[in-house]
Amino acid sequence: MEEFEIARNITIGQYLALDSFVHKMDPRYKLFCFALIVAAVTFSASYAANAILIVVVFAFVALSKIPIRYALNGLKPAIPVVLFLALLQILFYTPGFAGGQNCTVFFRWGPIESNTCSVQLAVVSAARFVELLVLTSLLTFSTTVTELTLGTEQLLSPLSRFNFPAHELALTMTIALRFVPTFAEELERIMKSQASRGADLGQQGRLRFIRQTRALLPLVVPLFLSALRRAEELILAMEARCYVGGKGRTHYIEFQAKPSDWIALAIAIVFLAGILFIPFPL
Amino acid sequence: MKTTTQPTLSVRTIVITGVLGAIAILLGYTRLGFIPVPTPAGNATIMHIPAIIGGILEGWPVGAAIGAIFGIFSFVQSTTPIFKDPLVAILPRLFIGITPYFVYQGLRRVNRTAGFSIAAAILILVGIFTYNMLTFVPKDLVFDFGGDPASPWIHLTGQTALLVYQILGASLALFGFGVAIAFAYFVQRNQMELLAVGTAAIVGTLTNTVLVLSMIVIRGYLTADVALGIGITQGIPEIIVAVIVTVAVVAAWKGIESGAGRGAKKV
Amino acid sequence: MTEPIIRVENIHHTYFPDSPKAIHALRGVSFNVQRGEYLAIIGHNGSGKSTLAKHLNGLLLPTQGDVWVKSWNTKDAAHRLDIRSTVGMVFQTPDNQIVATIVEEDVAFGPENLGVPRAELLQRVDWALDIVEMQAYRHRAPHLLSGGQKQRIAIAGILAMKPDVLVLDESTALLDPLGRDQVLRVAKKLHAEGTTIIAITHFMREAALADRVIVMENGVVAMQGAPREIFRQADKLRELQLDVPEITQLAQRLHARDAEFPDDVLNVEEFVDAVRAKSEARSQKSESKNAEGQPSNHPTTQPIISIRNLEHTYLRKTPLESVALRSVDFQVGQGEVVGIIGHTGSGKSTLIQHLNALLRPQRGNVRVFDFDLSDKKLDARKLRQRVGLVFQFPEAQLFEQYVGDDVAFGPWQMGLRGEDLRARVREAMDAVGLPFDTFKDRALYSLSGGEQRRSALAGVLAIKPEILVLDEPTAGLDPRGHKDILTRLMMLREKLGMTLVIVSHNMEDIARMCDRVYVIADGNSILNGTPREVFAQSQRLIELGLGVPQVTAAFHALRERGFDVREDVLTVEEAVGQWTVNSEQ
Repeated sequence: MEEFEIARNITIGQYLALDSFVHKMDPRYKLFCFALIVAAVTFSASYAANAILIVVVFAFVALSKIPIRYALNGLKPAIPVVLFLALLQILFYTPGFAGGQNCTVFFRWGPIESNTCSVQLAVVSAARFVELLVLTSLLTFSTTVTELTLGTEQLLSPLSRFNFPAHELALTMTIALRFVPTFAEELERIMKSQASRGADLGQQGRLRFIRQTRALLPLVVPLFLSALRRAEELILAMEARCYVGGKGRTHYIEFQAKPSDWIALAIAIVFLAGILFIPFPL
Repeated sequence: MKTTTQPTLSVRTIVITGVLGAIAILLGYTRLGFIPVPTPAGNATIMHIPAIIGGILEGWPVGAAIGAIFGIFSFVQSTTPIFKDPLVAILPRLFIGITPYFVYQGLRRVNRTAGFSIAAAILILVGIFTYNMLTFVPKDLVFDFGGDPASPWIHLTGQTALLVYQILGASLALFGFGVAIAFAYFVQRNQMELLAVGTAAIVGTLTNTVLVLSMIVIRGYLTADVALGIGITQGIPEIIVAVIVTVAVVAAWKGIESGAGRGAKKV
Repeated sequence: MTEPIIRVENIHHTYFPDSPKAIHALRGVSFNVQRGEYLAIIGHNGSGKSTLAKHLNGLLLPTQGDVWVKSWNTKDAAHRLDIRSTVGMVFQTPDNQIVATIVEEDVAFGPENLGVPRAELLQRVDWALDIVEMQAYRHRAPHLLSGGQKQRIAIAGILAMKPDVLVLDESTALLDPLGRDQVLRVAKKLHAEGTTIIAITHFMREAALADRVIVMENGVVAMQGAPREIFRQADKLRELQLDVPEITQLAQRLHARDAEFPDDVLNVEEFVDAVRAKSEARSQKSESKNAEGQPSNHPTTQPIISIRNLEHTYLRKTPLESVALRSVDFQVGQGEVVGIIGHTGSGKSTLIQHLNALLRPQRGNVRVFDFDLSDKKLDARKLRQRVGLVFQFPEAQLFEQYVGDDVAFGPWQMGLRGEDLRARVREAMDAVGLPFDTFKDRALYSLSGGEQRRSALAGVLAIKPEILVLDEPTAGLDPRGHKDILTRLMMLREKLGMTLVIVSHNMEDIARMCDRVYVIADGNSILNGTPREVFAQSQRLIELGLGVPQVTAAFHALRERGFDVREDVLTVEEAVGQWTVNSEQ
């Protein structure tokens, strides 16, 4: 019964070990660049900016030697939703976008109004989606979990001067990722256990959702309780190993920044500034 | 368990956040995270529930952190453009674990007198509202759902408008009435703990729905009325689901009474 | 005399001191721990031994009295880190001690916290992984490791902090025999190199390895001394809800007949030596005097479970494919008790999941009653009403708030309500020793571990299955809980004629309870027969990484040394019987 085999299907961190510039980047710089480009995407509303961004993003894919089909992994199933959303956006114009200026209406029927701004909204939304999808895929394919968590922690560690708990937060993430496969196995066992007692894991029909929820309780409640119980023991174990927060800790894994990393970061900063402040005509 | 130097976040906070965060992530990967409901979106999510539970059991920092983890993974895993926006996926989610904490703390210690007073106050508010609604007859009541004012479909006047107004008002009044009764019921049975947890779950889910939809509107992905429509149709089943699951888990963990009082219900 | 490294001075510990539910877990415990000794602290669950363990490194502070580690008092917050890096502790559940996603990073966690400079960090991680023999796994993700491997990683993580003392708080309780051996081997190695070892356990065989044993009962030290002295007082131990290893039991029974036979035998080797000392050695090996007749492979009556050539592969056609079963034949007759033994990963779990249609045969034939499990239209729920499956650590499946409700879940799903439901739940709960009227309204999470186990079992019994399949029913239980569950299972067979299929690592249990035994290895059913037949093949079983009952091993060893004894002795009683026969010759 494949419905029970969730545990084995979960792979956190789809790291692809390849030999590329992006893979070898110092994770701290890589993450910072990633954040900057995400900011660029989030705040770009013009056709021109998004065109540039799409080119840039796919340039990165090439740079990282990740096969295109991997990078576009989540895109295929999303296409129907993207198209549907675009349709909604084209047909029901929202003034919130692009300030509502210079919008030429070209279609109107009842509550439906389409203008150039709504088309732009639809196109930009779709573009942003593709850019972010590829960017995040790129990041997870080229960076190991350790690099991600440790990189984030070290990036944020200057803030610990202001009592910002950089290491603590990174540790939270590490613990979360460490336990996902363990909980997946546990969930599988609970499912099998309850099925053995005659639990019915599929209710059909409308408004049955209340019954469906109650039917989920034998799965969800033990899962939560087991997690909380594990937490109690893990707390003891961490205290026994003398964890006292990020101050004064040394690091087993260390990152070495190379000049290429500095250059990459500088380019990213300039790029972001450009995207944000250049008044694109479109 | 004290240590020499306190970490900024206690070990307990870190571990529980990590562990409940893992559940949030797991729920997103399996179909457990989605309960089919008869709404346009098709699914009610329970992925936000770990953040609510974390907030209730361990405080608002834990709730906020789990919310952040949920948000990050929602962003990473999402296949819709709306949620591939960090301002929509991550920012609002920071709060879903915070509000339940305060609601829970606020309500759990409410004693009988205060409890009944709150129920009474709600009733009074409902009464005032109903009175105003019945006596207020708008002259030129117009409902405008945006778009072309010339269209007869979304621009309602006269009798239709009045009817819509009354239906909306009546529903709100009934809802408020129901809330007051439920409140009094729990206060009466001295089940403040239970009431606090249930209300916290409601508030947490509402926080999620309201803030996320607001960001969606602000970012221009959907119009306000569409968002409102989704909010109501999606939000109500999600609230019901959240209450059932949250109460079950918190009650089991804390060993507090739930349901019809002490003891087994089925036998 | 050197200073003791730990001094426990008259400590008391009360949980919830200001509430009416206060629990006095420790009521005046005093003892010292000498540098370099191997101390075992034993006691049944609830005796206070776990609470005591957590005082040794300051995780808990005594409500009265003091604990000194070297010259530091555990109450002194300023020295907490010194204390915890001197006294390292490994806990019971391997999974719940590992924080990182890669093994070597987890091992580094402890010394990182201590601010050890990087160069030395690398060295320590290397060294620690070497001692626990896990170098090959240093880049793996922890969730892919076995229990024993995970526990060794946890130990490495503590060793990397270079403690003087290693406390193993029930660290082997949840492991299979192989895992347990791995952990104990590490402990012995460390002890040989001068580390002080404190093992909290209820496994008597482990206590036998120590220099000194402390027995806890009801919050106080009930007995103290070398293992030999303690084990000699078997009756007192039984009063304290513990027991002695089977081989010691045998020695003591023989001692009762012959006062010259030592009564403090700790393991098989000593038993054999004692026997040799008593009799003249025989120079020839006599012929095998095992039971006559052909090994009966399968039940003679019509089997109610019939499995042929079963194959199963997980995640077929993916890169993560793994073969669990290659070709398994398995049959069970009505009313039999059939045991399944095999090393971890041999496919036992996969096999039993076929018995109630959690898994369907990919190739091969599975028939249970009249159900053919290859039939896609099979009504799995009907099958599961007749075949009850109890997983390992079934307490994990409890989800209701009250015992009665959880036990009622199964029959409720079957459609029972009202009086019928109540009667069914009552029957099930009484069968496991949780009387319906007192326990039905108890909150599940207020029950002890053993009670929760029994409640979970009741939940499956309430379905009234004709076949009960159990995966390691006694895992993690202390001697009393262990005995209790086994007694109840046997009663089910006797009183209700239930057919039982039991997967277990405990050879003594298998020997005692089963009519027939199947041995699974690497996905194949390679041996089957009566326990006598199967355990007679000691050598083969040892090669497979399994074991035999201690008594059987002893008699096998005696044969090896030329004694003319039967090899197919399974229990203490039989051994005593054999002894009488032999000594009359």
